[in-house]
Amino acid sequence: MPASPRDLRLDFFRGLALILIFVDHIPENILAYFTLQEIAPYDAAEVFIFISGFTAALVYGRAFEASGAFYATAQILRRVWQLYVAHIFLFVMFIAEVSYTVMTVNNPMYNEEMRIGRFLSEPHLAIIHGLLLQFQPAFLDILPLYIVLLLVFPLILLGFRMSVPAVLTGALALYAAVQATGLSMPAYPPGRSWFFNPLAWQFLFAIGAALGYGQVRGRAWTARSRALLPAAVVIVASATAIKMSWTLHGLWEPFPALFVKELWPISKSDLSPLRLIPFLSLVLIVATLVPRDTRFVGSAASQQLILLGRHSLEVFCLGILLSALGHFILAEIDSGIAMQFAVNAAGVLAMWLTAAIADWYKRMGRASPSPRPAAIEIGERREIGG
Amino acid sequence: MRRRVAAPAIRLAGLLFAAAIAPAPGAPPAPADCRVPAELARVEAKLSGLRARVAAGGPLTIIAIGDASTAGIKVGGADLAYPHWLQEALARAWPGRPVTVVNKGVAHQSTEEMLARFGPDVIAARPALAIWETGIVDAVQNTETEDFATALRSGIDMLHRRGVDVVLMDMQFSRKATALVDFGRYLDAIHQVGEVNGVYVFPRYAMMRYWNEEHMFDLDARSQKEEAAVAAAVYRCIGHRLAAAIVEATQ
Repeated sequence: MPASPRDLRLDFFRGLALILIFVDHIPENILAYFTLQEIAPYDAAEVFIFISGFTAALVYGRAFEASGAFYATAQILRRVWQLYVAHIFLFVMFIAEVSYTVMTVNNPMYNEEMRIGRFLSEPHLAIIHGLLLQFQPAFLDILPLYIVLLLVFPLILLGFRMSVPAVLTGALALYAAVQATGLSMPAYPPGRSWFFNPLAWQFLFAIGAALGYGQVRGRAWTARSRALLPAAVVIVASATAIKMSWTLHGLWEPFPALFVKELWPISKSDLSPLRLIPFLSLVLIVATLVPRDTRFVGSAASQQLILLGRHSLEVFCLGILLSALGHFILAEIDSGIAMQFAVNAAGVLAMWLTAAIADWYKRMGRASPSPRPAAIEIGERREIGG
Repeated sequence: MRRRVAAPAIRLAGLLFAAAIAPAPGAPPAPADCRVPAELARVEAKLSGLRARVAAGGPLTIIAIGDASTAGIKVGGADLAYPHWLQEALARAWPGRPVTVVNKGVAHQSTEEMLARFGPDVIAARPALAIWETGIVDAVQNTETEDFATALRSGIDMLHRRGVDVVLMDMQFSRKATALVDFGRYLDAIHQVGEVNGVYVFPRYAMMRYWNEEHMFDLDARSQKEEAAVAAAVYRCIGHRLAAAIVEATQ
C-alpha cells in the first residue's frame, strides 16, 4: 500500500496539546496563564480528542480498506488494550502517590476531610471500579474517554462505509440528547459521573474521524470550507475576546468580564456547544489556512513538537505523572516563580527526551530487516496515532 | 478564572502593602491574635435584607450550613465551632437583638448534597441570613468545577427567591493538603460565583494562609491534642472575623 506522507500538522498540534495538558495540570502554575484555556473557551482536551478521532480514522480506515473489517478491528482492539494497560499503570502510580501523601499529611483541619478519599477507606471497591474505568481520580479521566471511544470505533468505521452523514447524524442526536437531558455515564463513588462524558465527547471524536475518513477516501473538504471561513473567524474572535476578558478581569478587577453572568459556567463534562462550536470554527480556520505542506512544520522547533506528538501515548502518561510530581514539589518544597519555571522546564525536557528515545528506538527497529509482511509493518507504523 | 490563586507574587505584594489591621467600623473588636491584612477584611457586597431585619428589631435567626468544619467535629462539637463564636460576637455588636446562629454542619458533604437539605435545614427556619460554608469535599473529590459553580448558583437563587440573604465561606487552608488537592480551581469558582451573584464570600482560605505564613497558628501541628487546640483557636477567629464582615455588610 503506498502510504501517503504523514500529515505533520496532526503531530504538531498533538505535541502542542501534550505540553499544554502537562502545564495546565500543575496547580498554581504561573505558566498556566499562557495556555489555551485562559484565552479560549476550549482547551487542549478538545485538540487531543479531535486529532485522535482524525488519526484513528486515517490509520484504521486505511487498514479497513487494505485488509478488511476483521483485521482493522483487531488492530483497534490491540490499541485499546495498550491504552487500558497504560491507564491502569497510571492509576496504580497515582494511588501510591496519594497514599504516601496522606500518610505524611497530619493536619488539624483536614484529617476529617481526607477520609473521604475512597481508595483508603474501601480499597477493595476502589480497585474494582478502577479496573472498570469508573473510578477516575484527578487527571486520570481523559484516557478512559479515549479508551471507550476507540472501543466503539470499529462500529463507527462500519457505519462510515455505509454512510458518513448517517453516522454523524446519530452522533449529533446523542450529543443533543445529552445537552437537553443531562444524560451521563455513572462513575464511582456512587452518584458521580464520568468527568469527560463520553456520550457528549463522542460527537467531537466522530467529527474528527469523519474528516480523517474523508482523507482516506481522497475527498477534499477544505474547498467547500472556504465559504464558511468568515463566519468561523467571527465566532473564534468573539469567543476569544469573551474568554480573555474573563481572564483579564481575574487578574485586574476593574476590567469588565463580558457576558459572564449569561455564559458562565460553561460545561466541560458535557462539552457545551459554547466550547464545541468555537473549537470547530478554529479547526476550520487552521485546516483552511495552514496547508499540509506549510513551511513552518519543517522548522526546528516544530520538529520537536512533532516528535512529541508522534509518541503521544508515552508522552501523555509521563506528563500526567510529572504534573502530579510537579504539584507535590510546588506544594511541599517551594512554590516561588523560579521553582515554577524549573518544574515546567524539567517536565517538558523529560517529555521531549522520552519522545526522542522512543523515536530513536523505533528507527533502529525499522532499520533492521523485519521478517513481518509489509502490510502489518505499515499498519504498525501508522498506528502510533493515539 | 484564577482570581484567588492569581499570581502569588502579586498577592504577596498586596499583603505586604496592606499589612495593617483593619477593624470594620461598628464591629466588635476581634481578638488581637486574629488580625488579617486590610485586603482580606474588605467587604464590598451588602446584606440589605439582613440590615432591614436588624433595623426592625426582634430576634434574628442565622443558619450556618456546611461540612465538618462548620459542625466542629475536630473540636468535639458545636460549642467550640465558628457559629458559636459568630453568635457571641453578633450579640455584642447588636445589643438588644437576640441572635441565634443555628449550626447545620454535616461532615463529608459536597455542595450538591448540602443543596439537597436546604429545604428542611435552611428555608424551613425562615432565617434572616444563611452562611454557606462549602467546597472542601468538592475539591477533595475533584468534582467538575462547573458543576460546583452551578450547584452554588442554584443554592443562592433558591435562598434569594425566599428573601434570605446569603454569605458564602470558602475552603480551609492547609499547606499539606495543597500537596494533594488542587483548591485553586474551586476557590476561583466560589469567588466567581460570589461576584456574579453579588454575594459576599468570606475568604477563609486566604485568612488561614496568612495566619499560617505569619506563624500565628501552626496549621501543621502534630499531636491530636495540639490539633484540637489549634482548630479551636482558628474557629474562634473565623467566628469573630465573620461577625465583623457581616456587621460591615449591613451598614
